[in-house]
Amino acid sequence: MKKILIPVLIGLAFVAVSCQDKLDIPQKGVITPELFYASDDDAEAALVNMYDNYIDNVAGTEGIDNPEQVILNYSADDIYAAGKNFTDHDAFRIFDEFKYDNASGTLFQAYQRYYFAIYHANLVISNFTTENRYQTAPRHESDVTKRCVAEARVMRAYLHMMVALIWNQPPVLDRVYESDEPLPANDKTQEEVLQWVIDECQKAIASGYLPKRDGTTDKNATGRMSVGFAQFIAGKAAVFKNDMATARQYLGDLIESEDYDLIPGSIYWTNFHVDGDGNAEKIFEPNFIQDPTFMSSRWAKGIMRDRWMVANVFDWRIKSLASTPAQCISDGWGGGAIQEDFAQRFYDHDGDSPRRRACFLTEEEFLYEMDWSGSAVNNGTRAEKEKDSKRGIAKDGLFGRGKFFEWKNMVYMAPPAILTKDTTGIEFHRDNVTCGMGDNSNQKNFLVARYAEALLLYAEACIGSADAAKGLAALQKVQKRSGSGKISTELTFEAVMEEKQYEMWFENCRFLDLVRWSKLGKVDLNAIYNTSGIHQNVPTVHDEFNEPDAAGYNTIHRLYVTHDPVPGTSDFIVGKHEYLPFPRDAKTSNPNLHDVLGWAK
Amino acid sequence: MNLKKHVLGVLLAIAVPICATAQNVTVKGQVKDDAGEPLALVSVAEPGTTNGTVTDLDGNYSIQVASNATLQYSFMGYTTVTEQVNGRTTINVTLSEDEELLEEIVVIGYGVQRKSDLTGAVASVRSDALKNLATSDAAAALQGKVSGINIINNGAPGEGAKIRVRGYSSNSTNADDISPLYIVDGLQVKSIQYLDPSMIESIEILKDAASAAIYGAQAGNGVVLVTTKKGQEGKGVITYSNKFTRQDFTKRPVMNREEFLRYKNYELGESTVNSDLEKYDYNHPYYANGVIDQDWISGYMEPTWSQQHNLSVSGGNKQGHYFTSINYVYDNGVVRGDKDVYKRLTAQINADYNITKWLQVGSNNSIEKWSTKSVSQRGYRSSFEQMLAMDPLTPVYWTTPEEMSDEVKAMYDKVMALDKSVPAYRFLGDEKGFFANTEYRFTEGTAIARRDITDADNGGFNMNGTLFANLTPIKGLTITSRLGYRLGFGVNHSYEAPYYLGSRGKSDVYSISANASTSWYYQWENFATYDRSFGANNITVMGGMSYRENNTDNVNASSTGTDILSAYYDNFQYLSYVKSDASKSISNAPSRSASLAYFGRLVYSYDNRYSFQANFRADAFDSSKLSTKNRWGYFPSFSAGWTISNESFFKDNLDASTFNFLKLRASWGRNGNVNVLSNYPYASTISVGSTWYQYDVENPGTAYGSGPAKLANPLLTWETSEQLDLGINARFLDNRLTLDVDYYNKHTKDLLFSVPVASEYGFGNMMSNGGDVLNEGWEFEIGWRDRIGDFTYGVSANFTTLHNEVLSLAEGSTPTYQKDASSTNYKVRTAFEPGYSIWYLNGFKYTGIASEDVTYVDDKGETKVLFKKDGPMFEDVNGDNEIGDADMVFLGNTTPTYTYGININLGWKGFDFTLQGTGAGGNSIMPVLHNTGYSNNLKYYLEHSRTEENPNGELPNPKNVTGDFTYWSSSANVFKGDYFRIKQIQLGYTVPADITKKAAISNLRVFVSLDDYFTFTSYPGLDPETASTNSTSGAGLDWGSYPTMQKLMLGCSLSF
Repeated sequence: MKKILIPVLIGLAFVAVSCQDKLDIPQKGVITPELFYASDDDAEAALVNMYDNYIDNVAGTEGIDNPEQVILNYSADDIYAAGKNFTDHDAFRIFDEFKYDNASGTLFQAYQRYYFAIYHANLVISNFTTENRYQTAPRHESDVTKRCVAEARVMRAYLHMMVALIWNQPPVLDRVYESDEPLPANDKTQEEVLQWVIDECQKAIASGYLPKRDGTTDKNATGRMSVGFAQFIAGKAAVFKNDMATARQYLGDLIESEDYDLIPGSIYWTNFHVDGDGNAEKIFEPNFIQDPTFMSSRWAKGIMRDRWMVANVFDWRIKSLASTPAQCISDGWGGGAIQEDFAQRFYDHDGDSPRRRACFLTEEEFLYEMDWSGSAVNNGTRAEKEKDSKRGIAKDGLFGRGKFFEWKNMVYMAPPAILTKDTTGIEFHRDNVTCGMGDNSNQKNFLVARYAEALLLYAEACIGSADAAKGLAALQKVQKRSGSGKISTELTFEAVMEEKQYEMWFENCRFLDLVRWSKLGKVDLNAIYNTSGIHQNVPTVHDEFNEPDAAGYNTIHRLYVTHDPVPGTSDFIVGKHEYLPFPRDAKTSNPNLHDVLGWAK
Repeated sequence: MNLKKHVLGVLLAIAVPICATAQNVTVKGQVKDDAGEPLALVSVAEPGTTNGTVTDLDGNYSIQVASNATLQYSFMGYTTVTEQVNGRTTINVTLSEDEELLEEIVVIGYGVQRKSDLTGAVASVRSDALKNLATSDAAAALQGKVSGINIINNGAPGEGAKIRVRGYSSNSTNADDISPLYIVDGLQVKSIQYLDPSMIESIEILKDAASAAIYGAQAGNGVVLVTTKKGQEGKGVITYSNKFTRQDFTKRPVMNREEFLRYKNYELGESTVNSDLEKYDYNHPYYANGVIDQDWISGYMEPTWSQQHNLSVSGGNKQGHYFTSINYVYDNGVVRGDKDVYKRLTAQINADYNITKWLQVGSNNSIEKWSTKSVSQRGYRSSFEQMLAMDPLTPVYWTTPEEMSDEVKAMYDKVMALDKSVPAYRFLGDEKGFFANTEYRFTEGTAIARRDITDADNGGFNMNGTLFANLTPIKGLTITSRLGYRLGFGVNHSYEAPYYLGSRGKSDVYSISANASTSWYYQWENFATYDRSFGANNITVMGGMSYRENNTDNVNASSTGTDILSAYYDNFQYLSYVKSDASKSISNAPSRSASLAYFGRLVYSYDNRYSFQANFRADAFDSSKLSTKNRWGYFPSFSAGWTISNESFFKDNLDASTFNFLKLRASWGRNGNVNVLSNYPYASTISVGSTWYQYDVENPGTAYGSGPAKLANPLLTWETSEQLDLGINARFLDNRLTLDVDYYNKHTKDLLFSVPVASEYGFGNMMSNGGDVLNEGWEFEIGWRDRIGDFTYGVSANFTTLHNEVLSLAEGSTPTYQKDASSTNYKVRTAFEPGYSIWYLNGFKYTGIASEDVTYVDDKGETKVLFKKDGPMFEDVNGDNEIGDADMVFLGNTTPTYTYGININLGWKGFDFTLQGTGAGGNSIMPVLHNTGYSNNLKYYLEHSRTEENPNGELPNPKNVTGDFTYWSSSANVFKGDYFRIKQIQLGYTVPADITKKAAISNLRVFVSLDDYFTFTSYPGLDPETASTNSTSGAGLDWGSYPTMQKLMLGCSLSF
């Protein structure tokens, strides 16, 4: 028996020992982090990954909105959450009226998405420098990796500036944090965070590796981090830190580089449409992918990047119109209206300037200068148009609007003749050329920074300084281009504030500026939000032609405005609502995150 | 033990003086078994007295009793027979073997055990209970047979039944993740669908954790052990049997033309309906009086015939045994034509041989060839959904192009005119005409038309088997080495050409695909068992190891486009003829997985009174499931049994013929469920080329990026279940009455959740273990069997309760909601939430019809209407005067809270009669079939709506709820899923052997059977049993499932 037993037992032992190795099965189609971040190609791939994640998280769609666009624009005093009725864009209106709390989904998405994007920038930095958990030396270093690091550094600085301006004292993530280590507390002041932003931009510029725009016709430098954008961020951060000397230095360098310029007023509108992608005025805007094979096979990315439902929000609500205006692609939700009083001021200031027309239409333009797809008299006489049932506003009107019709952020099916008529020899394009995702999508690059803002920031930084003349020149450059006819002769705070509200309307600027200016005593936020009446007196615009109860029913088109007596109110609390609360869910999962300023009380 | 007991009986008989009474007679006779062999030591006793004797070696006995006395003949392992003396002096008795009795041997995983020694909860189903069923699926054959398991069926041919043992323990939505572990003759298999019930000797289900613990990390959902047949010693037996089955479905739950028009008149208004009828209705040659009244269930289904044949040869002697069997199944489902067909040819070859006194070798093998064709069901625009939703105003056929809708006719004319601006569409139909599409609404086409869109087939070969050697080098020691293997080859093809059923039901492109899958699996297990008795002590020790490895290598290829093949004739519809410039998709990546285990068992029993058992298993899984550091898991279990009836105080005080047997059992064990882990869930990896950016502003061109795929959690582990089981087994009245009761309490923790993490780490979520699900309940099995002269009968019933509750979620995670029916606009969800059964129905609570406008005053002082007069009202749970997600509440369990089965067997001379029933209840079903416009629906809605003809209807008038998906997702649309189904009524006749022997036939049985013919339910839809979508979370949502077919079966079996 032993003869049998012994070999069997040895055999069993052999099996037992040798099997363990058979359990190690490598995963296919992936590589481990230990093998990655080790070559120039890896650095480039990590950088692409950074831009991809930036677009997906910050420049793309989240549900029906882009969180940054919603929070910053709707919190301003010149945009209103419109739509079918008062409840239509509730999730936007809470920012209009400061009725959000820290459980707001949009708020959490905004916070989360900024930090996701920061993490992907940190992957480049932490893996190709010693700026990582254990100060480990990178596995590979070269001119390529240094350039990638410089770009990631500027991206990270820009994102930190945004979170500092929105939340005041955000955590600074200066490297990749691994899930088994505690996160840094948000104990730096806003000034300290902004100084860190400036230092980081300086570090990237000083490295000499950051790409630089090669003149105003170099479009490709606008699709990535560049020296110009680093200067813009450092300058903007300095302005918000009220460190005007530093601001003048960086913004002055940007202006003196002459790599950027304002485009002519006649085509000002293209800044906000596909034809303006990468133009002389753009400092940074992430590219929309145009590769047709990419779009057809990777539609999820397409949806994210073309801001599909965001486009719906900003497009007109055609169901409330008599027929489809020619520039409209399809029915939108009409969720972002220009505030009625502001529109009037803008109109009074700019008149029929190309800038004003690029932003919104007057009653006259809306009814009679625009082509309506259902109309047989687009080329007819005024009298014919006045009685044309296929134009104007349908019964029950358009909620949230006065007699002005914003279209700055609309997706154009065809560039409208009102805007193109002053130009000749230029072929303009629709805003959704290559996309197969449905008509309401926007292939225009997401606008982050343009030269006009740089000029106005510089002008503000120069007030009362030795560079006042340069600052006035910058202001005048913007004014001249606008076509408003107003040219300041003196560099004053008021002149800069006024010009900036018109020039940068609906471009994420206004609310942040108001908060900053309020700290300087230049504006009274309580008056703006709580006592001005802008939220107590919300308009609905009607067309007499289509309202059976109106005096001019079925005679000719004429608009009139009714005001819902108290549809909404503003809950703005000075000392609190200048900044947003840290989202509840962000605090739950990060115990080191604590409320600050008015939210901490 | 038997001997001892009977010796005691003899001694008793001698020692106790016989109390003779008047008119005593001496009764003599012989006791034999079924085979005619005399039985020695059979107890012959007069119940209620101490009078008794035992048979001698020739089975003869003699006893003095009163002439009107009763005699009882009992012998362990045989059924007890009672005879009235009635003055007779010679009484010969035949005792039948009782397979249900306690000496039954049950398979317990790496060993066998006497049923009387079991300390865990093991259900055992023998071959007799599996034969003569209509199903060809071993899993489906278990339905209603034992307590503690639930069988989830679908009616489609070839759609394997799913087994659930003692509840539902995971939050995984993948149904396979909560399947039990299947072991066939020691071989681990993925399903037992390939096994015909006729090839099975027994199925054991290890229900409690202690019994299943020997299978460790894979046993958390229970273990199903299948033992295939073995040849019997003696003369070889050849058996042939067949079954011919007519399948049909006769329930008609949806509205006919008249009902439909009444409903639509309410819903849409008579003027709309009349004007639509004017436009679209016409005299159709195929209908009585030309009035189209299409019953779409008949339009899509028809009675079909299926058949099964089985031929087996078996035999053996003291040296070895053989069993070979060939089984053929042709199952053509009730969908018209041959588009739902399951074909299977299986062979089973089992043999063992004793080479020497200490070495036995053997092999069990299955070879299966299978193919299926199937139709779509359980989903948006599946053919079964369309069957139920299609209006009865639309005919099956347009007999001429002139009958076509304008839209289809216009396209038809273009295609006939070879207009190049449109694709070369097919217009589907058969010899009776073109398949019509409804003109009353925009939809993708009728069920019958959708049946023909794609030509697809699916099939393959499987070979499963084991080779084993048993060494018995010394007394009591058995060493087993067993190599198991599975080889699988599968191929599927699919071809679709452009077709046009309407602007919404069309395809402009050709698509073709072929997939070839190859898999091979092997396991090598070595274990040794040592069994010794020392006086009253009995010890069994077992230890061993197991290595398992699975490999798959699948190649998939497809092409789609407007012009992809070099020609489109039938013989070109293969990938070989795809044009070189057509867009193609190809994939292949071989994969391997492996696991290693060590296990052991200690069984100790004392004096047949006390038994104790401990199991232990250490399991390790490969790196695709667990990290190297975390790969080992340890699974202990303990159980004990106390056979009270063997205690002297029991024997001394209770009448042995009244209360024969009583045992108490208790067990505790820990198991795992490793199915939920796959694809390196713990590993941090870089996804290569997964992100994209275009640097160039004007020129398209994509740069590819790479980055971390997820936030890895290296601590991930399997789900762990701990289960307590308490059981009682009792036998009464000479073992005629049996009662088994079990209580089980199973906690499953470490479920896999995606839990939120701080955004600053770069990701929103991370997989983490946590949560706790409880499955708790009682299992009852009760049986009675007896014989009255030539009449034998047996009744058994089982009943199982299940309290399933999610107790907690992983820390930081929130309830999970699944919206399996969201593409129908339904708002209903199924939810995984603490305090409720898993994936319960979450919707709105309907509170009745509003008798007037229900209003509220908003915070601006305005009066607003919450519920309109005559419309539905719902509970505003959070009181915010809006009915939204926050008002969605528990509407019902989607899994049954109780299941039961009943089996009745009668025999008289050559006749046998079987009645089997099964039922389940406590669950709810929501049909998600409502569509706006001219879509058909359940008759129930017409009958229960408040209308002029039915002023007391409890549901709102159809016009007030059309398109109101809050209403359709409310409790108004929730139905009890309770049902009782008579699985089988079968009458068989075995021709007397003296007749058949003349034709050299030893046994000939013919039978007729009605299977699944009668169902008792209040559910107004097609079939409560099969109603659910195809994932765990979609249980309870009826979206048009293939119903259980009604079967009329004829068959015979004959043995030589």
